[in-house]
Amino acid sequence: MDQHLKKDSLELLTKECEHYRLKRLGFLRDIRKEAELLASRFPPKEDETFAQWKSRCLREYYRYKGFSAFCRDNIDNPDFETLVRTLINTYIQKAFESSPRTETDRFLAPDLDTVSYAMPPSLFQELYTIYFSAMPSFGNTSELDRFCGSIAGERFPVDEARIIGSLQENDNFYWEKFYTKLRPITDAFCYQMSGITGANNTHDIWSDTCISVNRAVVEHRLKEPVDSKAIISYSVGILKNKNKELARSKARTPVDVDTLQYRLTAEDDEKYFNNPITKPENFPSQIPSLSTYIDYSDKESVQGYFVVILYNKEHPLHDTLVKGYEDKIGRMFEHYIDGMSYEEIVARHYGITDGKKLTKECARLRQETKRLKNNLLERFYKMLEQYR
Amino acid sequence: MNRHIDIETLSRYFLNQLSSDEETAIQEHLSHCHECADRLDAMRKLREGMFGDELQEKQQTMLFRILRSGWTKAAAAIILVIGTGLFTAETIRNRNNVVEQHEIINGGKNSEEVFAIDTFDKQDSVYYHNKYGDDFKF
Repeated sequence: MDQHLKKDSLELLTKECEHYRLKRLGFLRDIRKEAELLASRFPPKEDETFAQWKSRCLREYYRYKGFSAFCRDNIDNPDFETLVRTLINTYIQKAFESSPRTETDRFLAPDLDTVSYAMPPSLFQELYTIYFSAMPSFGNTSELDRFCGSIAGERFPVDEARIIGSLQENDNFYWEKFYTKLRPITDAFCYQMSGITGANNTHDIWSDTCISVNRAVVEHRLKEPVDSKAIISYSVGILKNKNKELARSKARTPVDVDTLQYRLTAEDDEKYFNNPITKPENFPSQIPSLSTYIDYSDKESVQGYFVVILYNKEHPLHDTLVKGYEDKIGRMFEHYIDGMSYEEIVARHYGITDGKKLTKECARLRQETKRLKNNLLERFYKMLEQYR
Repeated sequence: MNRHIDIETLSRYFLNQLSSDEETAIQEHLSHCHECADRLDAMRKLREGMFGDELQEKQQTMLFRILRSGWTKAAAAIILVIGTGLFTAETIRNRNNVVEQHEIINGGKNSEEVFAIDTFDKQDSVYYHNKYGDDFKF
């Protein structure tokens, strides 16, 4: 069989497995054997382009393997649910990146994040029940993918009324996003009105504000109908009152508190809610592309991103991740990527080729790799916490 | 696509973030560009090295994991010990019962008699029942 065709088939199926988690779902076992099957049964026809061959051979392969029945049998499989959620999330993410910022996001979502194009677990369960209870027939992965895309297109962005309703029902998913939104706003108001800077110093005001707003919304104390602007205005009002109290208590001479800003003015609105990033001096900076890359709810996406940062030296976070471990990472790459054994690495770097010393060095290197792996992952998860 | 794929696009391909058409274009390029294929392969190998154990563990069947777990071994050991204990206790009880019955019937005259009763089973039970009638209760 043509080696070139074998290689292409292997790449097609490897990507299918990565994308649709076919191995984890149990649809495939040995990718190499399956690739050989694909290449032998569905080779390219004459005058067929690569794209045409790919489309046809995958379509026929999935039909041959009974993908449709497989989906029906796996409707209750948690891994299948995870796959569907990931596919929908991918489409939502794309829609978010290509759509203008919604009013709801402007007032309720952190910069670069979204509530309108976000799918909390409760919403996913609702959608999965509606769309997958009577499992539609999917001939292949592309059809499943398109179906997930159509769900994302129909259901997103989520209505403001629904989001407000979830906030009133104390849905943590939305509240956490709103609390994150309030953080830089708190910093901004504290800096401007009381001259306080630093996360530690503003933390109490921020948490008090979060609690107050939560109670007001959950206990339906805001004037109906409640919208996102009403919630942010209420929050800003609380922030300003707290800062006024602070200014009054700190002042050596009486302060005319009424000269301090109180309402959400057009100027405030422009400054804090129309800018894509609220970023006065000394505020924590954000990596613009980070949030567009990672689906935090998906472990494989997070792990994949870790590999990308570790491997790609041009990535803005690469240096932060590998700082201090450069040499060790070089040796780890030799083992994992170049496929060198520990003995070969020891011989190459330390010139030891036999004897007890070799055994000892190999054991040390194995330990070093294991520790390095854990240290890098720990650092990576800490880095993610900063940008979430 | 004559030039090499830039690392960002390759990363997005690796992370399944490209559209179907873009993905196909990358695959077409990879089929004849060894350098790009090697870079993609490196990322895959790195992921396998870093998280391979975890993935393999997920793929193991539930039965295999149950059989391999320490709890299963501990449970098997406990069952073995309890089983041996029960068998021993039952044997002793049988022996005592037979001696007791024998003594009752023969008025304790043959107390020095030796019984081969350690392997007392159903056949023995039938034998003694036939010999002593309903007085033999076992």
